[in-house]
Formats: sequence, C-alpha cells, structure tokens
Amino acid sequence: MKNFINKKKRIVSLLLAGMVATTAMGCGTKSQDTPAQSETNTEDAKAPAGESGQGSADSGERVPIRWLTTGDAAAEVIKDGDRIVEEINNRLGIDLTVEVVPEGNTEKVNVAMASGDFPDVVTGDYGTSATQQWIDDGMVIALNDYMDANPDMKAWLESYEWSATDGNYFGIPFITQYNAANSLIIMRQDWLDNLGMSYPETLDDMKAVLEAFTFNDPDGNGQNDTYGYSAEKISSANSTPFDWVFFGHGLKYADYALDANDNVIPWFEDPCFIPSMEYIKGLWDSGVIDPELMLNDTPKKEEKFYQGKIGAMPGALFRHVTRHESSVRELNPDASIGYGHAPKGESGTYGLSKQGKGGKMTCITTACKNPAKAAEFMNFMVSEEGNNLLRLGIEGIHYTKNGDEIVFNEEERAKDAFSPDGWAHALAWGSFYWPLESNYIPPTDPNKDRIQETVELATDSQVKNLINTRTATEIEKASVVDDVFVQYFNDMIQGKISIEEGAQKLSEDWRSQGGEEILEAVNAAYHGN
Amino acid sequence: MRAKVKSQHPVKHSMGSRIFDAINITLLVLLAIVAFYPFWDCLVVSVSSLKGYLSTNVHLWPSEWSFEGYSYMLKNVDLWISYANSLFITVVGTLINMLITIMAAYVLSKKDLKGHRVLMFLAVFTMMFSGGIIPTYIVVKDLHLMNSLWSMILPSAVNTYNLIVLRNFFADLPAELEEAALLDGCTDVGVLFKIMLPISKPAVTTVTLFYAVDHWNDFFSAIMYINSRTKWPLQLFLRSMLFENDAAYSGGGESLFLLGQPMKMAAVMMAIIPIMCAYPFFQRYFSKGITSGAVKG
Repeated sequence: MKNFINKKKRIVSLLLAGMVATTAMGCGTKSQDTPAQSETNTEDAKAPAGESGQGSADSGERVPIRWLTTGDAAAEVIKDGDRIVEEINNRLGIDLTVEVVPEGNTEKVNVAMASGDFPDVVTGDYGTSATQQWIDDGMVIALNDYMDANPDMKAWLESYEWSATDGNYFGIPFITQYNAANSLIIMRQDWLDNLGMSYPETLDDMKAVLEAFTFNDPDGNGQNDTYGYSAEKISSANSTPFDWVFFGHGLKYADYALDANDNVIPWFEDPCFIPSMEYIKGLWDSGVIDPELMLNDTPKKEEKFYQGKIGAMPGALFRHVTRHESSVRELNPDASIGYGHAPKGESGTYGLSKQGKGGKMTCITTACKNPAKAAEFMNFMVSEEGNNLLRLGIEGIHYTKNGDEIVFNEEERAKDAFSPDGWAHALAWGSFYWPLESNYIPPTDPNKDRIQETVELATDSQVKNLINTRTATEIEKASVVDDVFVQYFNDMIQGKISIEEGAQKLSEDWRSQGGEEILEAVNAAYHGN
Repeated sequence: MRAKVKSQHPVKHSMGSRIFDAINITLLVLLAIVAFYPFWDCLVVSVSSLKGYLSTNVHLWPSEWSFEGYSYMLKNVDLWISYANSLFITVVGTLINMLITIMAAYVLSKKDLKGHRVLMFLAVFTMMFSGGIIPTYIVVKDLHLMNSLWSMILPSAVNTYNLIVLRNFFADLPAELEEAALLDGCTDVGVLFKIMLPISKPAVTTVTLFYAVDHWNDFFSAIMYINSRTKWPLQLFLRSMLFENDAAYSGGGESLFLLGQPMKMAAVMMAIIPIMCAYPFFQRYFSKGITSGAVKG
C-alpha cells in the first residue's frame, strides 16, 4: 500500500512537471524571437533601412517612430520594402513602423495605452472618454512647443482652435464630415419620370412625390407594392430618419437650439419640433413610409431601394454613386437615380446631414524619445508634400506628368500599397483624412464630375453645430438620454402617445435622466466660447 | 401465434398519445426548419448572383446561379494564408489544450492528492474572476507574444470548465482499473495514456471539440494581439470583409462596400464549412461526453 502511495506521488510529480515543461516549451518557442525581430515581422510597414535613393539617411542616424493607428483597415496591405514608407523615411530621416489595428478597432488602441504599451505616435477616437484620459493622465504631450517648427501642423491646429485644452493642443484632431458631407435623399429618377414629376424642392413637393411613389404604381407593374420612403432605424437623437423635416421646419443647428434668452436647450424643445413631428406623423399615417423602417440597417435599406420596393432613401453618395446606380439596374435595367438639395420648408430653410463632432486624434506619447521628429512626421502627414506622396506616389515611378495631366502607372502602384484605379496609398486615409474631406477623386476617374456634384449638394445641405465639441458630460450621459429620445420618438410616430404630450414628456424625462447636467455643461461651453 | 402478434404491435398507442406524438413531431420539425433555414439561406445566397439575390426575399433555391463570390474568395491569397493560420492555431492550440487539460484533470481527480482542494479552488477562482483585458494584454506583451500566433494559443491553454468536465469524468472511473494496471507493471504515464484515456473517449472527444471550435472562432485575441495581416486568422479576415467601418463607408475610404451580399455569404460559408465537417466525426461521442462529467461536482 505504501508502495502504491509512493507511486501516486510520483505520478503527481511527473504530471505536474509535464505541465510546467509544456507551458515553458510554448513560451520558449516564442522567446527565440527578440522583441526587435518580432517588430520587423509585425508590421508590414517597416522599410529596409538605407536602401533607397535620394538623400538616404544612414540607418544608424534614423529615428525610430512607431505609429499605432486605426487607419483605413480595409486598405491594401503595406508590405516590407514599401517604397512610400521608404520615401517617408528618407525624407524625414526616420525609421517608421506602422501598426494598423485590425478592423480599425479603437478598443485595441485604448487597451495598449491603458496597459502602458505606448507607441511614439498614436491615433485614437477623438472626443471619447479614453482619449480624454490620455490627456488627463499625462499619457500624451502638448504639441505647442513644436508648432513653430512645423507650419502645416500649426495651421491645422489653429483651424481647430476650439480643440485645445487650456490653450494646449494634445493632438491633431480630424473631425469626420466637419466641412463636407455626402448624404442626400436618393430617388428613383425613372419613377419620377414615369409619374411626370421632378425631384422635390419643398416639403410639400416631397409629400406629393412620396404619395405618388406609394399609390400611383410608379414601376408600372399594376400592383400596389411600393413605398415612398425608407431609411435606417433611429439610433440616437443625433440621427433620425427625418432630419430633413426638422431642418425644413426651421431647426437652425445640428446639435442644440437656443431659447429666447440665448440659453442652449435640446433641439427637440425648439418650436419647430411639434410641426415637424406632425408632418412626419402625417407621412406615417398615410402609409407612404416603409413600415419596417424601425428595423432597417444600412444594407437592408439599400436592398429595398435596389429591389424597387421603395422610391426614396437618404443615403451616402460620393464614391457610392456608381454602386447605387449599378445595383438598382440589376433588376431594372432602365432604372436610374436622382438626387438634389434637401427639400425646403415654407421659410426656405433646408438641411439633411449634420456636421460631425467625432473623428480621430493623433498624439505624441510621453514614451516618444524624439518628440521633435515625431512632430515633424505628423507635420509631413498633413502637408501638401505628404498628401501628394500618399495620393499620387513618387513621380517617375508611380505616376508621370503629361503637361498638367497625371498618368498613373498602375503596375508600379500595385507593387506598393496603392489601391487600384488611381486611389491612394494605404497610409493616406483614416488618421488625418478621408477622401471626402480632402475632396480627393483620382484625376483619372471617369465619374469624377458626378461624384463631386454629389459632394457639393450634400455639403450645401449640411447643417452646422452650435457647439463644436462633445463635453465630457455628454459622452458620459449620451446613451441614457438617447434611449429616452428614441422611445418617445417612436411612440409619437406610431400614435402611442400624442405629439404634444410626447414632446412634453420627452423633455421632462430627458432632462431628469441626465439632460439637465448635459445642458449645464454645454451652456458653460457655449457661453465660455 | 399470440407472441407473433405481440411482436408486430408491441405497444398499443392511445389516441391521446398519438396526438401528443404528432404535435411533438410537428413542433420539432418546425424548430429544425427554423434552426436550419438561416444556414440554408446563407448557402443559397452564396451561390446566387446579385440579381438573383435581389429578386426575392425568401431564398429557397438560387434563381440565378453564380459562384462569383467563391471565385473571388478563392483567388484571394490572403484567404489561404488566413486558413493556414487558423489551422495552425486550431490544431496546435487544441493539442496543447488537451495535453495540459488531461494531465491536470487526471491529477486533480485523485482525492489523495495533497492540496487538491486548494488547487481546484485556484482553478475555479479564474472562472469567477478573470484577469480582464488589460492585465492579459500586459502578460502577453511581457512574454513577447505580441503579433505572434502563440498569443492566440498560450493565454487560453487551459479552460477551467473543460478541466472540471474531464476531472469529474476521471474521478468516476473505477480505481480498480488503475490499481490492476499498476500491479501488472504499467507505468504511471502508461496508466493515464493506455488505460484511462481509451475509456474516456466520449469526454476527451467532447472537450477536444470545445477547444477546437473556440480556437477556430476566435477573432478577439487576434484583434488585441495581432497587427500583421499575414498572421490574421480566418475569422478576422472574413470579419474584415463583412463589417463595414462607418467612417470609411461615408468618407470614401478603401472599404469593401462594393461586395454584394452573395459575396459576403460566400465568405461566411467558407468560415463555417470546415468546422462543420468536423462535427460528424465527434457526433457519436458528443452527447455522452457532455453529460458524463457533469453530474458530479
């Protein structure tokens, strides 16, 4: 028996040793990689040092810069030896390592920063509690000392003067849809033509068109199987499927409204709210709105439009113009799309998209050993020189000039991380620009004029914010008060509560569930500004 | 003669029993259809043209066949790299999982092991209070596993739930088998691998399947620890094709918005078919294994 117990002990010892050995073996396998080797393999974007032509700095003198960014996750892969990264290294005397987070997942960036894994340069979401914490906890440095030496960065920051904290700029902000927009109400132009109608210019016209789309058999199939309008379900007070109605009825700002005493109030306390809701309810009750609107996401909404079930939808255009038109022609080869300004109200006001408040912010971390070089790199990324390099490439390699005409060498561009058909390098978008904000369309794009026309129309229909930034209180309370708004908005449209009563209760509940604190913060921001 | 009649009609069902059976069968068939239809819809859409997809909302059969989605996916070199990464993670990861889990579960199933309650408490403690994202990230970083496929294997080398399932199964096995083997001259390791494991197939197979499916479906670890696209597992690669980034969509970035639903569904099918093929091989052990270790705490 004693022998048996001893054997048991040996089993235990042996198996536990096996576990430890197995675990150690697993770690040991990786430990053969030094951190440096591991980094070389990791991103893709590390160029071989000192391998390039003009003005090549000696690799020993190069300043290593590690940039962690959400970037444009769907762009081409940046491979070792990418000539654009190499060119940046040569021009700036740096050794750039770019780490683009999969799926542009901001949480990864936040976790890396929270765990102390600081890169030299980091891009995260602007106007979130996480990036605010970077500033509050001293994880990122102020850029003020480096502005004079970097004029493009300085000009950029000064154009976002309101983004400074106590006069200090802690990062280069990039607000999406700040000065440009791409959304319009897209309609079936062939339906309008069949009905002898034109694209609606006023709210009354819009109502007439939507009714005709619903009841006058616009597709001529002899069936009552179409609806006038659909959109995405409402997800917050900042984006409803009927923003154009509120702006048409005179709502002045995208985010808030002002009362008679110049105090900031929620936009749904503006006098235009009730007549706007009555207009929307009228559309809903008359049956011209897709009854599944409350369930739609973007793909579902677009699918219904392509299937010919709805005649109008608010949608992104810009690079999507061709896609919408070709998709709608899959089932109806003669179909076409139309778009125009948002419909005007009686007083002539109109609007559709709201100016953006969110976006990205690129900062230099406290771990950066050479912040001057990091600032120079950021300056390059927002400079004309940098933009040309990332969008066009290197002259003579990626493109040539024939007078003023740019001729792309797609074969050479494909060797580096350029997207096809004249679109830009993988580093061009996501951190400092999107094509929309930079008004970039490849000079060779045959659809260029039409694409630009949609941006002009959409930007003209964009409504500005009263307050540029989101306050910390807004960020904290947003989800609760948004839920209150969504609930009442849906109930009012569906007739579960009258519009007058709903508007009053919405206001009371919104204020009591965090809205008062939000108003206190935004009033301070507004009057402070 | 009577016996023969009895064998032809062993049980006489009452009308109530028949109605009950009919309702049961009907409900279960409906339930099966509800469970199966999403998969079928996905399969049908994946082999339909965009026109065929748009022409109807209920996809029972492709109205216009097209394998463009599969063709697009199969030509994509990154897909095959991701497949290879996922296979490596699943095979190597599951082997490591099973090796450690089996050894730990066997040891912990021995009641005469000193401190086995403390060891079990420590294991169970991790079920209730996990380290969380940031501490795990720090551990992975400090072990220099960042941007390595091992970061998707080693941090999850043992799953406590699976450890308990196996431990309970081992604890239920007759101790006499082990004593007999030792008396016959079998070594300690031999007892585990030659005696205990062969009679534990249901539990071992079930736990293996749990681990393999977890590895195959894991994408969050890849998001956290892996940047290089050459090391993306299949799930991350396919997610990047399916999920549209709002900012990229509206800002005109290099998103994959041009992919239609058939192409996206082809991507989904390519992700789930390989692991689905594994199920039939584990099926006969599965139901037995899932319950066998569960009754003893």
